[in-house]
Amino acid sequence: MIKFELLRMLKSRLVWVAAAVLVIYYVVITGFIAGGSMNSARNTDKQINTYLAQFDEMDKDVLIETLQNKALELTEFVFAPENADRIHTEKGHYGATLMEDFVITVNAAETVQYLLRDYPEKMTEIVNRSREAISRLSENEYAVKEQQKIISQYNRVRHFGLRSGKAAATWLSMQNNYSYFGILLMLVILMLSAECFTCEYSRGMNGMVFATPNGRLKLFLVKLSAMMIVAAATVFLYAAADIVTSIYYMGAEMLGEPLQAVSEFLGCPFSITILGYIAAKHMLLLFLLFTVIGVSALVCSFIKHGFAAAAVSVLPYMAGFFVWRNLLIHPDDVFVLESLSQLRLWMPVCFIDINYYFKKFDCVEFCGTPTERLTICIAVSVLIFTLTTILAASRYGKPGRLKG
Amino acid sequence: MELRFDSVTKKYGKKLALDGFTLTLNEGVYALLGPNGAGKTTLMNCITDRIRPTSGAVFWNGEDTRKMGARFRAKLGYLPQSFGLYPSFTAKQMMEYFSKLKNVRNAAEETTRLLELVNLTEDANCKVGGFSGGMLRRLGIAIALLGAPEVLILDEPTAGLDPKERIRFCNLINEISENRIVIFATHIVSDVEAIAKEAVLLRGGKIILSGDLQTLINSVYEKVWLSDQPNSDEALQNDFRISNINKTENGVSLRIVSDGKPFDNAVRTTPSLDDVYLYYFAETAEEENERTD
Amino acid sequence: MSGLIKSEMYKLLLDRKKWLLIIIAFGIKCTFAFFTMRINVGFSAGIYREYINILSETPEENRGEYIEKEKCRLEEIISAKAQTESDYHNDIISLDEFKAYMNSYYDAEHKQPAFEAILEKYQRYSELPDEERIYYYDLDIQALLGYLGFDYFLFLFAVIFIVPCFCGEYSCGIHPLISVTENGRGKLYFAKITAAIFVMAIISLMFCTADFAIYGIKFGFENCGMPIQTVRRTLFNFPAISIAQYLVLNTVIKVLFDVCLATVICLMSVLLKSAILTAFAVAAAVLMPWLMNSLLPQWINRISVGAGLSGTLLTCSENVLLAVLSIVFHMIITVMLGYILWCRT
Repeated sequence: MIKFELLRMLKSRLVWVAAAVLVIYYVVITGFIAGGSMNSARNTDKQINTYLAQFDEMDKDVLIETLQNKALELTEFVFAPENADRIHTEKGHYGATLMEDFVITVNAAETVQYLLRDYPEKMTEIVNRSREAISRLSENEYAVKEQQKIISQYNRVRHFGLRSGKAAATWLSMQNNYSYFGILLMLVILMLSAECFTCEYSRGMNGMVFATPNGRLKLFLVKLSAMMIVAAATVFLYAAADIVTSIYYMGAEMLGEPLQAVSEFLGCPFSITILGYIAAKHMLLLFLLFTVIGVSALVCSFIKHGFAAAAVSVLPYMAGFFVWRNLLIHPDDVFVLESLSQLRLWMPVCFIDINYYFKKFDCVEFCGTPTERLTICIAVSVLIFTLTTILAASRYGKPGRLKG
Repeated sequence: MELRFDSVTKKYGKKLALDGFTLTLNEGVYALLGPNGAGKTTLMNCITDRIRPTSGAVFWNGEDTRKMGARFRAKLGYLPQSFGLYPSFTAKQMMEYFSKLKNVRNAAEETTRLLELVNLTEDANCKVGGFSGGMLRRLGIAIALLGAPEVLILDEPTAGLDPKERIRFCNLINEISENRIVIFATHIVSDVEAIAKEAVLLRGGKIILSGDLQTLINSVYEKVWLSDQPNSDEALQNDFRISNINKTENGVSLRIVSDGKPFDNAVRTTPSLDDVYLYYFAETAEEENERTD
Repeated sequence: MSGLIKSEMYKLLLDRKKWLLIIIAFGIKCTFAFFTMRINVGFSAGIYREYINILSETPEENRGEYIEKEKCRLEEIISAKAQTESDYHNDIISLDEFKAYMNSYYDAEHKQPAFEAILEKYQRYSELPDEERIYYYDLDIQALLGYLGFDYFLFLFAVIFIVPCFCGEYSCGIHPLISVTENGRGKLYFAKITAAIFVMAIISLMFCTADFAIYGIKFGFENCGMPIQTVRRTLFNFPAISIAQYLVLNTVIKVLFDVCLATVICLMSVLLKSAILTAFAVAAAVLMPWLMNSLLPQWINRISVGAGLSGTLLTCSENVLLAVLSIVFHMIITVMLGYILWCRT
């Protein structure tokens, strides 16, 4: 029966229009919006990595000092007035011009400085601060547990390859743009769900279908499974496209680097690679889409009209969108931050943009234990999905009130 | 008044739904008879300008109906085979809405009169969403009659009506058919006998035969037989077109439509319109095999 | 024709108790506006008002001097504060001394952010003619201008109420009956479009009026006669009009774009014939480009319906002309194409 349901969906205009729109938006975001800056970052990365390859065997402190000295030397050279003409015309040693040599060396020095010195020192500072806090707050059990968690998460050795993370940093910051794609994907799944769960009513088949032995609960489960398969397939395709694009822009080796190799994610508490981060992003998006399916199924079990059900289903996500957007637009507003940061816990819609969860340590108290906000959000989304689907299943196909 | 079809052809891809349909209709009631897929609904859609013929045209008093546009539609009344209405509107509101669409004067009076005509006066203020199938069809007939159309197109108009309502409908058509062209498509031969002046037999988009009912019956005049047989097994039913089987003391009495005498004991009998339908549209097993080969 | 328009408006607004939905939506919108339209700055509004009062009482020729003095004073205190922190960390001063110094710096620390806003205002005013350099408490106007933007409620309303205008005929199966009547094509199409435009315009005006009414209740209208250039640097190229006039112009353009949205929805409805698909297509074609406006080229933002719905196009007089042209273009194209598709056999 799932096969029939999938076939029905694939043959509908809805799916093809939605697919066309998604492809267009993905191409626009990836090609036109991201393309220019990504290509430039990618080229710079290649040059930096080639340059750094010659220092593979060097001791870390010697390497940092060597590169800093070189960078200083080139800085003085480039900003000397007498060299103003030469730097853009004369061929460089490892770049097309002397100016490029300067950019490459400075970036290489910054990369090495960050990976071999700044990052470990920052981690040591965080760990020491937490240890000091433990001794200060020894009477507060929760506070102690929280600091211990911080120590356990940040007191880890991470092995970085000597690679420039410029392209990766640019690409990961571009991921913010894909949050709009996530919104569109959400709308697509919402629309398909509403159509899926009400198609019997819209085609006048409800009488025939619900009078069969498999026409109610089993049919509901079939539809639910079909929708989940469609959502998973869409996310899988999106993830595959993302990974292919990431490999193109960053290089395959960079995907295996710890996420912390990108300076923007210095405060990330998780042991996760860049590839793992991309996978997590899509997994969380899938969780969100599952909640969309669940909520849509529940609304459709009450409102047996596709369009009306879609309109009602979109309301909680619109509210969630306001929460997310307001957090972006009014970061200084204390009132907004306090009230909405609590609301964030319950809003799977924040899975549209997951950077927040991976940039800093963020735990809340749950039954006396410090629990990551991300974990709670995932648990809430699973709970929403479970509750909505159970309620929807209990109502699906049941007769409504007869009107005179 | 004259409605003329000039080689109207409609193709859907490779399928020919109407094949050079040519006919001239004047006042009166015309029945379109034919099996499913004969092209009856396609023809009606061509008349009502819901689809564009691949070639050919429909003329009203010598003028191309497509070029006439709204002027021709002002003279039309149409009841399709399946249709919907606004479920939250009452019958009266639906009639008023269509009165505006058809520029009907004295809309209120017309509404009351037509609802009475189709026996929906008591339900005039009930919501259409709660109507039964038969009530919806009666309301559809009333809507089609709004504005006193000169051309009335009815697609399966008595589907879903109980026998009493069918008789009432047939009487109504007889009443209003003066100064009007009424074209209706149906499978119910008794309706044709009750109201049609002429019938057009359609198959595969082509006219097989057309003319008044007596002409159609005469075309199978010496082709309808009565014969007593011990039983009517499947072989018999495959070999002959049997329009009626009556059980007798000694077996069955068969009414057979056949070009030649089917059995030695067969005697000719007066044909009816059912026999005409069977003769032109039913196939024996042999004929079906020949066709598929 | 007027009878048909009335019927269509009845179907859009009153049928199936839609008027109740409109009232509920309006209520939610007003509640939302009441709680989100507020002064939202990173400094104390009271201190800002103090500075404004001082500057408004100071003659024009002395303002520069006052600003300069205050700027130096605050900078000195902030740098002294930094020095004190350093001294404390280096054990040069004791904790008690540190606390005492920090207390004395509290006032300056508190005033600094508000003063920076005043400084920005002063620098902006230096580009204005003398008669427009009016210092008044404008945080309420800023709150209103910050609040005005893309109205998601109105967008959702438009989708929910306007989509069924055409899609409803296809979904309930009445289209075969309608399309063969005398007025069922051209006249009915224009009646529907007129009804949709009228309804959209009325609701849009209602929503805008609600916004201004709530603003008036919360903050009052006393400063709406001030030149618009006193609140927005981006409007320097604008003709010299008051804030009230600017808001009226902005509202008119926004209402016209809302009407444009209605015609776009009607076109999509006739093209796609499915309510859900139409709603998605409208979201993809109008809402998404607006959400992504920071990523798209400027020229798209200037002519897109989504940008027009946000009411943020009016940053210069050229944009007003562009907005009007965009509205006319969108409406003509969508109405014409919709007509062809609706009447097509």
